[in-house]
Formats: sequence, C-alpha cells, structure tokens
Amino acid sequence: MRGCGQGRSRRGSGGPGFGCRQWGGPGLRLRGWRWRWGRRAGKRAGEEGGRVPVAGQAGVPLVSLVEGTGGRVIGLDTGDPLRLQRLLALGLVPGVWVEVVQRFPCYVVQVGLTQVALDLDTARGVYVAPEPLPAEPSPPPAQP
Amino acid sequence: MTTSSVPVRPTLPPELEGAVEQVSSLLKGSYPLAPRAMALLLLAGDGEAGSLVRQREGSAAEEIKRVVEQIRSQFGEPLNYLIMRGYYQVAAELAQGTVVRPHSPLRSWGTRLGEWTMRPWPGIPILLLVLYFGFYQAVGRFGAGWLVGYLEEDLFEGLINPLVNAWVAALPWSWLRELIGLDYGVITLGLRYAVAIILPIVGVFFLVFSLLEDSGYLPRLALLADRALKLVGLNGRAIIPLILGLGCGTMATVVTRTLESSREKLIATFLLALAVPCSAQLGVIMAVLSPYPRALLLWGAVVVLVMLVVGHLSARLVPGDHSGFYLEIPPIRWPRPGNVLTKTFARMRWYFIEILPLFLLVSVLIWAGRLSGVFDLALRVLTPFTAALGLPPEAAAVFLYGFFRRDYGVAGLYDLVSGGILSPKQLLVAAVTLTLFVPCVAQATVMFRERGPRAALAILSLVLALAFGLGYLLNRLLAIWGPAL
Repeated sequence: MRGCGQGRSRRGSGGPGFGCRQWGGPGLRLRGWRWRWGRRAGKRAGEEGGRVPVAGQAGVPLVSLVEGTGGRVIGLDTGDPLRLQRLLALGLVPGVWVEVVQRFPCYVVQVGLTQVALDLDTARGVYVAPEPLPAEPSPPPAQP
Repeated sequence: MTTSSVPVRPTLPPELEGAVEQVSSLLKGSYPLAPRAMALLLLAGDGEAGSLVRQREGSAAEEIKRVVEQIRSQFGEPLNYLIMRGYYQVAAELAQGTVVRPHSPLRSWGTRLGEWTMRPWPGIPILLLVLYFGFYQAVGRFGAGWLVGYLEEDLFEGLINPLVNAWVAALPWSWLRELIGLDYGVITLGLRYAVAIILPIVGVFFLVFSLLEDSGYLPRLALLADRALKLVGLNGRAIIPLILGLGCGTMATVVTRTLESSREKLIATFLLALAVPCSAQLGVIMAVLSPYPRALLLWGAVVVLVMLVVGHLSARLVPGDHSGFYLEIPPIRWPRPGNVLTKTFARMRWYFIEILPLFLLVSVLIWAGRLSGVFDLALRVLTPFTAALGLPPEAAAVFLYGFFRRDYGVAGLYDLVSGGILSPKQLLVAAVTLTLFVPCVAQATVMFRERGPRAALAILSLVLALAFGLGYLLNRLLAIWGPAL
C-alpha cells in the first residue's frame, strides 16, 4: 500500500477504497520539480511522511461521507509530518468521532465541541469508519 | 476547600512515561521549561527544543540525540502522534467525570449565524455586506473622509501649518525653512501625513478588524475565500494579510509571517506590493475617478485581472508544495468592547511607533533629493517612460513622489485633472499604473526586512516592469478600442 502513491503526491497516496491516482497531463514536469522541492524542505530524515497509523488502515476517506453523517477517525495521511502535527493539534486524532457539517466550499467537520475547516486535499487524507451518531457527542478515543 | 483540591497530574501511557523519564534524566542544563516538558518536545521531534539542547548540553547533546533516536525507533508510530493521543485520552477521561452537557441543545441565533456565514449562500452576500459596511463605509467614508478631513484640513492646514510656516519664515536659511516647514517639511509633511492621514485611517481599520477578529468571523472569511485564493497559489489563511493590505500594505507585509510556507509568504508579499492598493491610495483613487464611473469600473477590473493572472503565474513558477488549508472555526460571539479597544489601541501604538519615524525620514529624503538635484535627475529618467504611457511630462513627478507617499502620487493626478492637463483616458492609465507601481518606502523597507534583499529586489523590479508594461498595454488598447469614459 505504501508503494501505491509514494513518490508522486500526497493526493494519491493510496488507502483501501480510494485507489491510485496517476499523475499525467500538462505541467507534469513542473509539478514534479515543485513537489520534490517541497519534499526536501518539509521532511525530516528517517521519519515517516506524516501518516498515522503507519501500517494498515481500513475505512473510507472523509470526502465520501455526506453532510450530517459521521464516523470514527481511524487514520490520517497528510504527506508531511508538520501538517500531521497540526491536524492532531486540532483534535483530529484517530479514535475521535467526527461529523461532516458541510462539504462546500470547504469541508467543515464537528470534532467534539470544535468545528474544523479542511480543504478537499486535506479531507482526502482523513480516513474514517462510518458509524451512526453516538448518544454521547464526544466519546473518548478508543484504547489502542 | 474540602473536595477537588487534589492536584491532577495527567499521566501518559506507561511506555511513554518511561521514555520521558529516560530522556529528562539526561538533561542537565537549565531550560526555560521543566525537564519533563523538554523531554516531551525532544521526543516529539521539535526542532527548536533540539537546537536548545545542543546549546545547553555541550558534548552530552550527541548522546541525548542518540537516546531519543533509539527510543523513537522502538515505537512503531511517530511519537508526536502517540503523545498527542495520550493527551486526548487524559483530557477525555477528565471531561467525562466533570462535564455535563444539555441533552437537547437548542440552536441559538449565534449557531445559526455561524452556519450561514460558512456556506456560499447566504455567506457570500453577508461577506459583501461586511466589506461594504466595515471597509467602505467605516474606513473609507468615516475614517478617510470625515476624520481625515477634520484632522488634515481643519487642524493642520488651518492651524498648525500656518503657525509653523510663520515661525520658520523668521529663520535666516532657506534650506532649514524647507526642512521644517513649507511644502515638504518634517512637520508640515511628515508629521501631518502620519498624524492626520494615516493614523485616522488605520485607527478605524484596526477597530473594524478587531471587531471581526473577536466575533469569530475571520476564520469563516478564510474558509469562503479558500478556493478563490488557491487560484493564485495561496490558501484561505492568506485572506487576512490581503484584507489588511487594503488598510496598510506595510502592516500586511509584516503579517505574511503567519502564512505557513516560504512559498506562500513570497507570493503574498508580491501580490501586496503589486495589486493590493492601500487605504490611502484607495481613498484618493475613488475620489479622482468617481466623476467617471466607467473608468472606475475599468480600473477595478484591470487590477483584479492583474492580481488573478499574475498570481496564477507565480503560483505555477514559485517552487514549493501547495500547503493545505485547515483551520479551527470558533463559534460566532459578541465581541467584548474592552478587548476590542485594548487590541485596537495596542495596534495603533505599535503602528505609530514603527511608522512615524519612517514618515519623518521620508520628508527628510524628499528635502535632500530636491536640494541636491537627485530628484531632477530621476525625473529626467522617468519622463520617457511616462511619455510611452501617453502621459504628459508633469506625470513623472507624480510617479516619483508616489514612491514616497503612495497616495500623494494619486493626489498629484487630481491637480493635473483639475488643471485640465489629463483626459479621462490618461487618468485611467495613470491610476492603473500607480496602483501597480512600487509600494511606498515603508512597505519596501519591510519587504527587505521580512523577505531578504534578494527576494525584495526581485519583487520590486518585477513590479516596476509590470506596472509600466501593463500601463503601456492599457494605453494602446484604449487607443484602439476607445470606449467613451
């Protein structure tokens, strides 16, 4: 699974049920160059590229949920350790329950008592297990 | 004080606590944080904590680094994630025992307003209303119109300037007279400009901005603008410096610090220098072009088009990754008047301390430039360029002074129009070129400080070339197409 979108872009870096997106079309060379540049600047040596849990995740990306439905976050794939850190700090931690409040022009999700706005790209990297709304609005994260 | 006074010490899962213990026992130097906090930062991979340890621990730093790396490799997941998950578990456990939530929360008006302002409908009409009342009516009409009129015309022109000029008339040397008073003196130009024009405009602007900030509206603005800003290589977060740029480009350039990547900082600084007119400039352009509504409309269309096209091109050419947009959206609240006023005054004070010396310096520079003949030389260099734009030679002075006082350039146009020297078409070309033209001295200084000399020089020369190139193009187009303005 790691090999799927690796070395191309965080947009298409796999995850079951999401498939591989291939790069193509005009602007390929320029984008590739830009991507590598950003990568060099952003990644710390020896660190996984902003993805938790590192191995194995099931479920669907957040973007496949409709407004008013929700699920439990089971994994994040951001392509960048710093971005992962920021999403975790916003409360998007595997185990919490999220609800999609709106999808356009940005995704807005309810995480506990907080609302968080995400763009399409970021929302694609949030994987959830769809679940009906629990009675308690914000249950504690599941024990690992 | 009989119950619940037991201090709660949150503990992470035991394997993490062990790692924290191991690292913090190695830290011998003195730090601004507790050893436990330093250890957690090191384990999470915080760069600043790492360099602090290298400073304070000397030779032991390598050993600490090795231990941290070893611990990291023992865990299957990134440690920053495991630590964060630990925090959330502790917080959730604490909350479960202490927090009671109402079972059927009624949706208040605040909640509804919060939802409306996030959706395109009715969010975008609300956004237009906010811009119209907050910026056009409050900053433009009240600040730039009424307050400036009172302070500048009644206080300075009517009272202070005549007094100063009467006083300097007694001085024996003309160079000293011109340094202090008359048209470009430190008091009659520098101080008047900072106190009577800039201060009221940015004061009202800061007030409106603090109100929007405290009401929780700004993140919603960022959310709505995200897709549009992606077109120019930025994301929703950049709306804050860009809106500030409509107040003062100098301050906005400082605020580009809040953007995430150096790529975004560069693009935002560039767009602020090129296509975002500041409130001083905006006010005068409105006044000069308002007798010709079609010219005003064309001016707006050209500036927005330039912003989109140039922004899109720079988004494709500036290296670096797109950074994602993610932002916490706070609930809509009533701003507290005390907080709003405190913030407004703190910002005004900061602005005044930063900017007042620059304006005094500018009036000294103008004085020196006129006295030494450097300005005459610069005017001769500029004249062929203004001629290429189809403008009379008098316009060269407008451009030169425009660099020192961004709005003064446009105000100079006003004199040319009332003197019957400029036709409406020439006025449009000149207004567009001046809007795009290099920012004022203060903004250029801040660009050097924030982005470094290489980037600042590149931006300035690109802006100069674009301003004259596009002005030339517009002049030719108007000559061919020739709508009545």
